[in-house]
Amino acid sequence: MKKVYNFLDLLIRWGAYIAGILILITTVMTFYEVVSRSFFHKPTSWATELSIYAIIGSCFLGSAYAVRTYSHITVDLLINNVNDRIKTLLAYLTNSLGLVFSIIFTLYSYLHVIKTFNLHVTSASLLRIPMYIPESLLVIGGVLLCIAFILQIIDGGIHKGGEHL
Amino acid sequence: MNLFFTGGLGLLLLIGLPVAFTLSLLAVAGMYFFNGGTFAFMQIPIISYKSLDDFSLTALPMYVLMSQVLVVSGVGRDLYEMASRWFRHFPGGLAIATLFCCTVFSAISGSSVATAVTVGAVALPEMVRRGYNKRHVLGLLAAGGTLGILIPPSIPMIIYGSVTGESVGKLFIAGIIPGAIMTIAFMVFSAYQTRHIKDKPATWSERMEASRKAIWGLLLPLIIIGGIYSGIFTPTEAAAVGVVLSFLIAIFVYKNVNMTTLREILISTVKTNAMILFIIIGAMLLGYILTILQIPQGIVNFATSQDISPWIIFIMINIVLLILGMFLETVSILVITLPILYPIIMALGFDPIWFAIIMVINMELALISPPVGLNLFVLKGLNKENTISEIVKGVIPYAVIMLVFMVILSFFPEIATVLLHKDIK
Amino acid sequence: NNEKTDDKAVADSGDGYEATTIRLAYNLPQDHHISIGIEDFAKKVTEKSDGKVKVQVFPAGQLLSDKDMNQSILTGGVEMGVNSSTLWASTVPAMGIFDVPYVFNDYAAVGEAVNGEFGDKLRGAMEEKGAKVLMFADYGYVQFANNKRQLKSPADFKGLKIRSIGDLPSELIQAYGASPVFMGGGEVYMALQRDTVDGATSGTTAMLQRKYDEVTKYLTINNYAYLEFLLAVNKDYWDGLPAKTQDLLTEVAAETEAWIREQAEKEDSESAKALEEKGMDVYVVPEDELDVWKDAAAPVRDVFVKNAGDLGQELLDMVDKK
Ligand code: NA
Ligand code: NA
Repeated sequence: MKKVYNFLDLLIRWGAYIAGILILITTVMTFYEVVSRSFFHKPTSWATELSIYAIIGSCFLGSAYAVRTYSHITVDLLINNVNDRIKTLLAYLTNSLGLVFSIIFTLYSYLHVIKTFNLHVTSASLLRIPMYIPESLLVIGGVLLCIAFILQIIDGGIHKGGEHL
Repeated sequence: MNLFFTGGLGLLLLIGLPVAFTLSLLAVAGMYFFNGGTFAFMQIPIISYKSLDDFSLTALPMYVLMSQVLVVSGVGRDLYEMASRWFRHFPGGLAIATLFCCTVFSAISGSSVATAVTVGAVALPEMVRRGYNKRHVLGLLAAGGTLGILIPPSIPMIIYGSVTGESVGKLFIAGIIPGAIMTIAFMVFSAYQTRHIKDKPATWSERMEASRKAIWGLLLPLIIIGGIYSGIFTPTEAAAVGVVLSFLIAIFVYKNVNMTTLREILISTVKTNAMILFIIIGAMLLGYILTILQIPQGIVNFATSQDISPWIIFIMINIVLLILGMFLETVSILVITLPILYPIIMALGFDPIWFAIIMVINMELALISPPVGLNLFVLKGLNKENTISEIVKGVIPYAVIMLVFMVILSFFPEIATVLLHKDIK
Repeated sequence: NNEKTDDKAVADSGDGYEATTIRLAYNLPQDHHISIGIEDFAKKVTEKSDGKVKVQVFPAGQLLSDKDMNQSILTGGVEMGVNSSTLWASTVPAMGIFDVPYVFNDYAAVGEAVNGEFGDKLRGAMEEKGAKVLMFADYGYVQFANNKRQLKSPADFKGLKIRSIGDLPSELIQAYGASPVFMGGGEVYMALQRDTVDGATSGTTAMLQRKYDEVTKYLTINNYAYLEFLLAVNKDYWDGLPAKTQDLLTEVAAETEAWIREQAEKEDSESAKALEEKGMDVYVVPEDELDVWKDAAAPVRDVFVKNAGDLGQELLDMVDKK
């Protein structure tokens, strides 16, 4: 059991690493576009589009890790003013609500990807990327979110609030 | 129905569900109860994807990344040393030096946190050591940090542009003069407040030496703003240029980025990025359901059909924003309110670019107003001994300056828009 | 409370229309001629059905942007929506036909084609994916504006950086020797002003509205593509409507379509004139030179056929015959 827990936790951390790498790649692609266009008069046909996919990926792959590290902004007006018993109760409650959303999100994202796949929708650009590929990031991110909230529930304990940023 | 959404919002936030999931879950519940049950859920992935399918949003994680790199490198320290040697012999000289650093940092990063953290970390101990009243210093830093979102580039302006479709470039340009005026007003006030403290002047060779060291920190904003102005890159692309330059500076000049720090930088960027983007998704989902239920349209119709002056509505909008600003942080306020406010502003005939600046100043106030004020927390985090109430007391005069400036800007919108009408080509 | 009034309406649907509410979203500015036509369509349908068939309009991207419009129509998120043929081409490749350079030479030809066999083929392809086309709303011709030089022949495009949207216009820009640049719509004005890009492509109505005259010098009228917007209905929803309602919608849509087509022609010529008056250097490619422009655009046709397959070839053959 512990092994499964650790594996899932690792999975979420890897999601965050990939998200970070995607942000780096976006930077490199955008910088390349600037140099290539402004100094060599050769704009790329891919930098803008792939950057958007990378940023979408960075959000969905990183979100579960943000849940695990209490990085999602939370209003902790009430949490800071109740005893630990109620804090624990609120932690279970909010994590379950988060899980409910994540399950709905994942399920319908999956159905949507299937639909996009069957309709052969491509991007309206020179690359003509089959849209089910970038859209799959929603499903992967959704699964990671579900796992993150389940792990939070398993952890139990008191509500630790969140970032204020 | 309105009660369902406002009550639901309040309740879910209060029990500690993160803002992003509060907005999303409320949208899902709204779809389920008012828009055809689970059938409407097919819209969830469509709207979620669309929310992020926008090239100008790619600037957001890159500015977050850049500010992380700058915080880790020593740019802030060298800038402060330079400013201090140039200004310290004036009355309240270090206060001016601190604000100078805030301004330079603001002009690089799009973020108030980066500004407050970087400048605060070096300025706070130094100023207190030289006899400045700690409350004054904390107030100065909290307020100076907020310049980060008014002086371009600015993350809230990127979000405003992304939600409303207004040009981010125009928004950046509109922030320049208000940012400059606000900086000068802060400088004048802080120098007056601390006028009794003066240091002996640094020698010219000391000044030159410090300037040489700080040259990178000074060049960075010049390259970014110069590049945007000359059209070499767009404001969105400027973020990538900023990241590359700050990495180069950190690696080759300060030599303090290695694989371990890089990993930390990336991880904290990912967390902030996912958090902001997921709030945008949540707000878009909620915006979709509210729109299809015609709720904002109802408010707009009500507001515009009343026989009251547009200015009264404008004042009411600002009061609502100030109240929201006490409890929510800036990204949430922007994405929650803009889909409703933007049509009202347009219907009333106000300039949307000017309104963006009004809104950003409101967001600056949100950053320093308790109980939820990001800059307050940042400064609290710098040193365990700082208390929120001490910071708040110190920042009140600056909040008054911001409010006064907002009134002036309402009477003279040209302060924001004049640069746009000039052909700067 | 919508549901309550609906139930009541069903009970006393006096003149034979079953009560229903149709949500219609579009993403053009409210004063655009297509928007005016669509708003009028909505009003007429409601009026003619004595308020039984309500068309609730969500204008100017209020509900959906061009990016999520198609999928929302296909999944029933809205019942009806207006979106460009260019964006539909990413789901129905044959829709790219309107972006193939120089397929339509005049406004009347478009009307004839979309209301004939050509239109039926496209309607069929759309229905296969789950959308019923109710109206072909003409946007008008698209042109090039730039800051470097007047484009008197395709060779003049060489080396230019032109902001582009959609795949086929980008292929054309490449075929003419220029490079397509991709950037968000909000940044184009400033990019033109500061020479980040040399030019852009759009209809003259949009150029006027976005004040291109302030930031670009040259306007080249070559009418290279005829932009089409489609009013599409979710197929399942359409099939569930009573025949009487379907007839009403079809009839009013046909009237509106004709009106929009007239407006497109008027707006195109008026906006081009206005741009010239505001100081743009306007060059209209003479008709006898169009063959050169068309030949240089040949690679784009190949790309279209490759994407759209046999149906694409059939459509091309149909318009070529004319
Ligand atoms: Na800034
Ligand atoms: Na606040």
